[in-house]
Amino acid sequence: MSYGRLLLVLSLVALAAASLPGKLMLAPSAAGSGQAGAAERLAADRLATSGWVAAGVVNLTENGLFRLLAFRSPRCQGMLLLSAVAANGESETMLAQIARPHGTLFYVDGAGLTEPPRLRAYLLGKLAPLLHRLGLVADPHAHEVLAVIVTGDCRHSADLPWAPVLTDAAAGD
Amino acid sequence: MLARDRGKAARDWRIHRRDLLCGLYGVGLVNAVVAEIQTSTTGAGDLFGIDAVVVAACLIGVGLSWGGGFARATLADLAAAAAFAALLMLPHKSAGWLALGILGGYSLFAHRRDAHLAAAGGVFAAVAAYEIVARLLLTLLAPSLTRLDASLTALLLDQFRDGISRDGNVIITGVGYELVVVAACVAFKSIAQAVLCCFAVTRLFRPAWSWSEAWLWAVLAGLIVLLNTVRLTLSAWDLAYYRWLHGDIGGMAFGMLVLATALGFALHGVRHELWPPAPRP
Repeated sequence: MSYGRLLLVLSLVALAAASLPGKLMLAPSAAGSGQAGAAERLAADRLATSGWVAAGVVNLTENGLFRLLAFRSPRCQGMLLLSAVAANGESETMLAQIARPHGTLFYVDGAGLTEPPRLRAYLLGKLAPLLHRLGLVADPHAHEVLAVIVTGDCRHSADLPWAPVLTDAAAGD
Repeated sequence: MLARDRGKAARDWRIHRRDLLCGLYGVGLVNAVVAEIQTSTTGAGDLFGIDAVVVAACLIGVGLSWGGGFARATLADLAAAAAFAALLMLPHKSAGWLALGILGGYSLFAHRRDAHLAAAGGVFAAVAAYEIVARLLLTLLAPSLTRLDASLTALLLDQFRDGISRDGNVIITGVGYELVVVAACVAFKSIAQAVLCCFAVTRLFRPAWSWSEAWLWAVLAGLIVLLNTVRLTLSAWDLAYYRWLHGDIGGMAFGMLVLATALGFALHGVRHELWPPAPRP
């Protein structure tokens, strides 16, 4: 073996040894459609502190891919349904059907939005774990998009954590 | 004299372009596969969710690069290798695919006089496009793609049954359930996979690219749209069909059908290289 080839082999082994540990430390992908994500748990905690009580799970599809977490409040007649959804908007029509005719559907990704922020959510979904690993963001799940449906007079409840978003969305009804 | 030549060969510090690229592709592939396994939510029984077509295409790419000429690596090649190494160090799932794609794209253009190295570069660029660009497009265009497939399905279903209607990507089947066409079900995903398979297999037997392949891809895409529409129509026809088609066996059968179709098209495209016509007497 020539010196050049030996040098190349040693360089490749060094490259593999230096690059593989970073890949071995990667965690399984974040929650996708219908899976309980960190954003859902965070939202459920926020709702609990405002007096909302968990009222079960509503399965929307046979395979359980899409489902909603239901919450009730003693201070209003109606429900709050929420789910972490894929930011690609594939569940938009289905959720809009559930929200009709007297409910309000909106999406939350930190700021308030009325439709899934596809490109931003996709890029953040790709970059957030890397930025978290590099210590640049605190929460690797910050990119998850929450779909929220509020029915009945709960739409006007002051206990909603996303009241400003809801007010904006309801103004368009 | 012979002993002196051997000693001279051993002291040769030159690095061959073929060795460099083949080695880098190999390290990049190991990184990408390890990242896929680490981030997989499925188990070993499901091959960790790794796409077999992607791994096969990468192996074809490595094999093609090994068939390249013995030209000496230039400074530009070494700079590309350094950029590849820097990208590969990122602790991210897509870093391996991105690094392979950029190196492949560089080789596709910089080494176009070496048919095997250019073909290997093209295969890795195609793999990166499949892993990164196709996924991005699927995310961005999901509402349009799911509605398109749902409308084709509703159109076909409407020929055989009354009471069919559609709201966006939701098909009201008229038999007590609704069918939601999600991004994982759209034909686009299968088309991207089939084209990658067709491209890689074609490069294996005919390294040089030909524009006639684009026509073959267009026909292949049309056929896969038809197959997927039939699959979705059967899913909407009866819940039993839906359950079978979305079960382990049905899902695998459809995947195999798509792959067999892509392979058939690829082999048809390279039939003259595989079975050269007999010389006329």
